[in-house]
Amino acid sequence: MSAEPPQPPQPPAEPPPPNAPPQRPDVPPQPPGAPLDAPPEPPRAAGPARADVAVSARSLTKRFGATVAVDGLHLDVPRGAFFGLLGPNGAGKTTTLRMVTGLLRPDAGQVLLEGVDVWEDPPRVKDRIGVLPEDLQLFDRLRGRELLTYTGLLRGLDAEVVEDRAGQLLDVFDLTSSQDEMVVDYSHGMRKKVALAAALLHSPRVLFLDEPFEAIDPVSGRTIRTVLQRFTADGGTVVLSSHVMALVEQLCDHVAIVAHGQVVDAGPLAEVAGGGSLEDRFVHLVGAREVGEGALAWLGSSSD
Amino acid sequence: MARLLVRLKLRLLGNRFHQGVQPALGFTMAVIGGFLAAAFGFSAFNATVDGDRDVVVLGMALLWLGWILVPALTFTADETLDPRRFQLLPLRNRQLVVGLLAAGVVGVGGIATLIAVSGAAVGAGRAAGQGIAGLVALVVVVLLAVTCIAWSRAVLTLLADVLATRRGREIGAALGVLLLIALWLTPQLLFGGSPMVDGANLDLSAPAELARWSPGGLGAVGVLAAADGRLVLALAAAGGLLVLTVLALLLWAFALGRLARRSPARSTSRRSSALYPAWLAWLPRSRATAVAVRFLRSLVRDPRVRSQALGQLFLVVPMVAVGAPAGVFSSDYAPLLAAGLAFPFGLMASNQFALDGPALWVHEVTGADGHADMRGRDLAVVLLATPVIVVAAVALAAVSGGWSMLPAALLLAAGVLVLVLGASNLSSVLLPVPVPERGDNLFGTSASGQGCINTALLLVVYAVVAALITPMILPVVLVEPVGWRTFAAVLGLGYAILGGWLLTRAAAASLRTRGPDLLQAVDWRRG
Ligand SMILES: Nc1ncnc2c1ncn2[C@@H]1O[C@H](COP(=O)(O)OP(=O)(O)O)[C@@H](O)[C@H]1O
Ligand SMILES: [Mg+2]
Repeated sequence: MSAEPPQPPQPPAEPPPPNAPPQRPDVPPQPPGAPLDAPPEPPRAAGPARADVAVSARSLTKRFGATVAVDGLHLDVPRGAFFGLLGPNGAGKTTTLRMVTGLLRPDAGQVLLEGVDVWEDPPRVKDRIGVLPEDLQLFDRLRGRELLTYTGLLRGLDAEVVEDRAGQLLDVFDLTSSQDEMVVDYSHGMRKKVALAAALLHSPRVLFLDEPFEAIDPVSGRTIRTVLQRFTADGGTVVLSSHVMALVEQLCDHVAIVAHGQVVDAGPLAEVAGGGSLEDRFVHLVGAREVGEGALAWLGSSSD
Repeated sequence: MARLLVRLKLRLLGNRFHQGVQPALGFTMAVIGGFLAAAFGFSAFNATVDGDRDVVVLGMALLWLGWILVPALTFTADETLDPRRFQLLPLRNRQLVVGLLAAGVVGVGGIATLIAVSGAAVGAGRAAGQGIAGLVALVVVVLLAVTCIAWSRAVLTLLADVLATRRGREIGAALGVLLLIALWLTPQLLFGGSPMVDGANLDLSAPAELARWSPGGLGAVGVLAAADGRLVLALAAAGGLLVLTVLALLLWAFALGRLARRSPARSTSRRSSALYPAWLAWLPRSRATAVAVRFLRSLVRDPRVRSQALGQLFLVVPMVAVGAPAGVFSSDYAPLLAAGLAFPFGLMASNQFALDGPALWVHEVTGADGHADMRGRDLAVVLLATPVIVVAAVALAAVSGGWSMLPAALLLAAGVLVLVLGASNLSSVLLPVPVPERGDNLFGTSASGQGCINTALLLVVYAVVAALITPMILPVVLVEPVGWRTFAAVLGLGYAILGGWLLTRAAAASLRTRGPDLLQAVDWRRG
């Protein structure tokens, strides 16, 4: 399903059509879903879904038994953004991403991807997105290359196109020499890279990455970062989750801070940081307590 | 080339005596053992050619089987000439195998075999009362010995090639299990489950009948024909053995070639169409066939999937255990039993989504096309089941003589497979049972207990499926003019296709809306 439905022509103000690192000769340029008359400044948090918004979530809610994992969350990701979903462990980032990508059914709320309701028309949305989940459960008894071929054929891509792109992606991610090893024998970093390659294979327009740099060596990390920057430079949108401030500050141009299943602040990086460091703002918003003067006084003093 | 290798071999054997006491002693023992075996074989074959001929057939068949099995199981053949050592020489594989074959004959095993089987030639000459018959029989037995050695080496080299890979070792383990099952079942099939050992009155005619069709048995047929003075038949058997030898040599050269290409630092240039194995390269590339191929690959590579599937196939064992003593394998209806195999094969798809486990999100994230996915897994099962069922039906027809039932049996098997696959598709969507990574406990797989409930419900599903199948089977068994039974089976197949199609449609419709829920249900970690 690589062909897109016909859509209105593209306004000149828009960024160039998105393109993943491997070129996509078989698909025409991707115009936005609807005509545009608003200023390019992306809106903050609430507001109606608009054409310059790649992803928008409204009142998203998910409970697991007594735990409210996501609690009426609102989120808007501008098109072409490198968007960081920032929050402590257990804030609900993974749950949110799974609901936004159509993998977990929300209890309530709505998700629009480029104006299409994710839960109304899943196949149409899934053609446009790539997903790298946190736990990286793959068909790990396939060899690296086989996994890419498999994913491509599941996506309905042409066999030759799949082979061509798979070769390029393996090359870019430095996996060509291990393409004939089974994924089960891959290191953690190699698994992330091959999963990312699989997510890019169909040239998606929005990439969702859950903790992409977690437990990654610097070399693989740099490869992934380069590919992602290239992807956004070509007009793609990246949404990644992380709890590592420095990384988000370095990579992202937009952030949303999530705590207890809600977005507590969102917008362009500089605005959210508000002149200070992102970490201070984060700690302030998430409400971690400062460690008091007298607490843990015994720590480090019991040598005798 | 051949002469060179034979001389090299003799030199290597001779060197045993210069390498110290132990190799010399070991070699001497081997020579003595070989001589004793050869003498025993010689006299036994010599005596039985004009005596109990079943013994000749079985003896030669076992000789051939032994030549294959013993090296394959112990993984030792000709330790003096390891084919890998010749890889660096600029030899064509075909030349090499001929030379190695000649060298293989010049060894303790080869010479002992030659001596043993020539006993049969001597016996044949005596029985026919003419020297020419003995001479023809001698040609037959020499070719028999050569065939044995050639096949032994070919199979061993092929195994070495396959076992060099992880996948190969996993296949090897699976085949080992199948071999054990086969060995366990063989006596029951051959003797109809009746107690076979009745002292001296052991009836060997049935196994001998079967053994006649092995290469070893072909040699026996040739020798016995010579003993009867039917020299043309004997020469034909010799020709057959020659063809078999050439086949073995071709196989050997092929395996050697692959081995050679593998060993230098595992060069990893593969054909571009990874995923599809060579024997399925003809499949069109699509979502459904990709799923089929991956399912087959996971059956081979993933112990989790393999043990589940084998567990379902083990349903056959109680079927046989009950059926064999009742004498069903010798009744005219025996071929119909092959349709029984379709049931466990169809059940392989009954938990198809849970078998993929949490990796199923890969399907979900690519936009669920449940219909294609189910078609793919069903295709995999059909690809597996078809050869097994056909072979079983033909074998049962041969054993029982009930050839007239064969068409009905095959139609019935197809019907059962289609219907059970349809039911499996539906139950795999509605009643997934999580299969944990290292789970040996079927009933402890899901935190919510849903897996346990589903397992219980599956038993109900099996019962319903059995009830659905009955209207297909009964007419085939009961309709009176026997000629009508094939027609009844055709009608049954139509019924099955309709039923299977409806069930699969319902499953696909359910999957369209239940995709994410199924994802939750098969993920044993989230319970
Ligand atoms: N399948 C599940 N079952 C029960 N609780 C869950 C499940 N998934 C997530 N949770 C809970 O929901 C909350 C949010 O989890 P998660 O979205 O994984 O957070 P994050 O990714 O931000 O670390 C946590 O309290 C977690 O324990
Ligand atoms: Mg998480």
